[in-house]
Amino acid sequence: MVNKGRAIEGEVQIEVMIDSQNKTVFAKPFSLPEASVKEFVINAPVYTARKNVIIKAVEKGKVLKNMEYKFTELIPPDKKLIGVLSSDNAAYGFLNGIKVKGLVDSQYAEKMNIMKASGAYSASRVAVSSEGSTTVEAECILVPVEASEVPDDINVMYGFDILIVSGFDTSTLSEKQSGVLEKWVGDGGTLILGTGLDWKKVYAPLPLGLKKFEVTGTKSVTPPNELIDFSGADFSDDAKLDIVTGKIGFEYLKSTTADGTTEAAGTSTASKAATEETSDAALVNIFKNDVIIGNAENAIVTKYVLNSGLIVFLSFDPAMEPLAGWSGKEAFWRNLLAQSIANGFREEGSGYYYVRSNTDSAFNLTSQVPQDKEPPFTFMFITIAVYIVIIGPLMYILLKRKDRRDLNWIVIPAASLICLTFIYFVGFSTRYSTAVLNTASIITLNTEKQSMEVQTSMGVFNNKRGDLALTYSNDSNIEFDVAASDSRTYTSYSNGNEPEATTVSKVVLSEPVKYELYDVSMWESKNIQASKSEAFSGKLIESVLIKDGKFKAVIKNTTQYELLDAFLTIGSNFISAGDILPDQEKTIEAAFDSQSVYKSFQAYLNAMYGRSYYSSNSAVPDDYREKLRKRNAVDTLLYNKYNSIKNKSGIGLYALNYQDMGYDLEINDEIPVTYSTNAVFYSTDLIFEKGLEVDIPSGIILPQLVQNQDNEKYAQLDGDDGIEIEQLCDVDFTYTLPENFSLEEFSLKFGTYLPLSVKYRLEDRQANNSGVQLKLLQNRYEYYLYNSSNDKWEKIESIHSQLKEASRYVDAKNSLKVRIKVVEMADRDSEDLYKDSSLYVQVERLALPELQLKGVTK
Amino acid sequence: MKKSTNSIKSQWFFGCKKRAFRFIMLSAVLVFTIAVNIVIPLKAYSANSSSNSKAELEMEVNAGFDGVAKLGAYTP
Repeated sequence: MVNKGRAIEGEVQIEVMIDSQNKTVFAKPFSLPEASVKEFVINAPVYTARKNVIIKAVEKGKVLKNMEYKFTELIPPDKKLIGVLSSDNAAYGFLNGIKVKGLVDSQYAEKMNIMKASGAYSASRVAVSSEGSTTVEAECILVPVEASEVPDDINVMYGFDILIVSGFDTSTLSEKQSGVLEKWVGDGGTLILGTGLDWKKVYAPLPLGLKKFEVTGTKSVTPPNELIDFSGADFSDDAKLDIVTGKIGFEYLKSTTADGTTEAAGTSTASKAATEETSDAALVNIFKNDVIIGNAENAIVTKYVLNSGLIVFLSFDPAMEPLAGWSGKEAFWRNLLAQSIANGFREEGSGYYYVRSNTDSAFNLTSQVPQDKEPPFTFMFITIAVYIVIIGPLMYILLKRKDRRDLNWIVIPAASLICLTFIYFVGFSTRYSTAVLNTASIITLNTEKQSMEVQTSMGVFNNKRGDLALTYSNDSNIEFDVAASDSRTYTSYSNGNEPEATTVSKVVLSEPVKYELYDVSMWESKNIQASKSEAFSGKLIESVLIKDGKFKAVIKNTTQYELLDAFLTIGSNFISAGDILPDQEKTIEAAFDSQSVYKSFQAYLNAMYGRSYYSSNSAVPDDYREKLRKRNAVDTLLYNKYNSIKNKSGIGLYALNYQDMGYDLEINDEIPVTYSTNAVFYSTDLIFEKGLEVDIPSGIILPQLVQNQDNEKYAQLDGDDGIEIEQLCDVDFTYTLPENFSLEEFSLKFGTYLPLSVKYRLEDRQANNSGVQLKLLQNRYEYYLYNSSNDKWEKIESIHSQLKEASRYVDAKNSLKVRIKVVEMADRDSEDLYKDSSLYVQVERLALPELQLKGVTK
Repeated sequence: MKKSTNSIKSQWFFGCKKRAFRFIMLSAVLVFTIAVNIVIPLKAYSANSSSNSKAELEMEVNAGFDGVAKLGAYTP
């Protein structure tokens, strides 16, 4: 902004179209002295394909300057945006417009196809392959970036799909820029690092989290054959490639190809890529640590998974010779980029909206405010009853005695008025005089980082109809989606014009930040998110002992948070731990087969808080509403955490908490009434002492259902409990045994069960009509155990003990396989079954087979 | 009685208090005139300033990465 006149105090405003009918304003206050020049940066989203943006300079509501900016190009979300941060950005020019194969969500692809058919854009070609999975050939757009242009706002960084860094001194990046880079990778971005002789400049200054490869030195080598195979082009005879050497930092497992032969994962992908017949299977499985070119000792291209994103470590500098002038460089990049993951976008109406991959939102919880301000119903009821007695019989008798019934004209309205005023004032105290903030946080304790990561979802409720203003500090990590809307439609007139958009919100980018929402309904929940990190030292679970089918753990609460309704999980065993206050130590003991150890998440929740649903005729527990609220909190905030560890033979500690998380957020310039529901999660690996004999009871090592074409349609997972069988099929399960575990003996137990919901329904029916009987339809099964030493399935009984040669059943991947063959289905369609109304007909379900182990840790 | 009341009233306005009344009225007019004389030039100056030392603002806008932005994402 160039001010050639008097001093101005105002704000720059950018109007952003949210959809065809609504817009939001991003504003930044400024102070421009007389004859001065200033530069302002505002990061704002682009949601609609309109290229024009309105920018205004406003002083005291008066527009001083109005400008329209036109973007030269708006890239559709299915194209990949590649940023290049290099000393020689021009060396990557050939990547602009390059087409890369990748897998996309088939539903999304279908939408894109429709858009392309209507001529909306024709960027890429979508090819639908067999079995409905879809590969898309996405075009890449290259954006050269200078050091100063590297975003320090994560929202801007999300716009990039891939960032290539080579020959660039990353120490010139600010701390904020490096932090954003790390977070972006974790949230789904792909970072490609070119190193070679310049590795100290490129690699060393990066944040620790991005440095997975341990560099030990450099050397000059003849370009390896794997690189030539990967790209399908040879190098000149005298070509030398400068590479870094070092440790890849993960266990490099060799993968088995479809024909059964074993080969290195990297080579397998390479050969497929070179022929440009990249199969879906190869693409589906790209989300894992892998050596793409080379092997564990001589890794040329290594891929690392960081949360939802990828880091591709090139041990050479691709912008240097011999690669810069290499004929295979385009094929190399095309094949390499095919292994990057696209960011998620959703498309609604006329707009495109970025979808964050790692948001743990709990808005279903925050949209319901705890009801602690209930009006005193009993008191009100008595008041009204007294009023009726006074106004009716009492007045009648009194006035009749005095023979002044004409006074009714005054007495009745007066009594009504007094009663109304009384009730109004009694109820007044239960009114909210300020806005309400309802928060739900997940506090994840990380022993490795010695930190507590807090993810908070907030529901903001306005206590009046009209405008809502949120004020918060820039440092409080509060995020919101300005494009959030319940309904989005695309409106345009027949002449192609769109209706005049209404301003629905305004973001003032100052300190503190102010987010204003206009014309908000009363008590309508507006969602925002926040996150923070707190220090944490020590470990919550001090020690664990599993012996003779019994479990013992010592928990010490070293956090400042009260752990309420705490519970432990080990495999699919749920053990209640009660309340553990800060600095309190508690020992939890339980036998795995006791009644107090629950075998599924639902069973535990039902036992602690009651069911989520009761039919009208069944007895509802006391304080049901409060219990249901707690149940919902545990279910919403902690179920995903349980899922993340249940197959990893780890121990989880979970608890509820109601302390204020201390986000200084003001609503309508006042401190709101705040409700906080938090869930604390801590997990630790189950480590067995070396050399000791270990007895692992059932329910700790859980099986994984092997989905194949045969059972896909006929065997459905029934939550955590088991399998629902539809037709005759084979159902295979795989158990992954603990690492370095020498199996001595094991036993398997197969069974069936009835889901809790069916049991409850039966109970309810029986409560209504005592004559109801359960008619259980049973299938017939055969059980098999895979013998990896002779590659044969051996038939076993429903309860099987393998006391000898147990190791013959464990394969090279340290897993044990079992099969349940459904040989006969119960006749479910017989009409006779449903004639008798007193019969409650149900088909049994297949429980997950239970495995008990005995062995020694090596 | 009525007459005497009237005479008191008339005295108040037009009798010996008449001078005081005039003084008050005169002061009020004076204050008003001074106030108007201060405010009007101020307004006049202000109007003058906006025409003479007008906010002369020029803007140059760059957006995206050289005008390129991705749909659905934030852009500088």
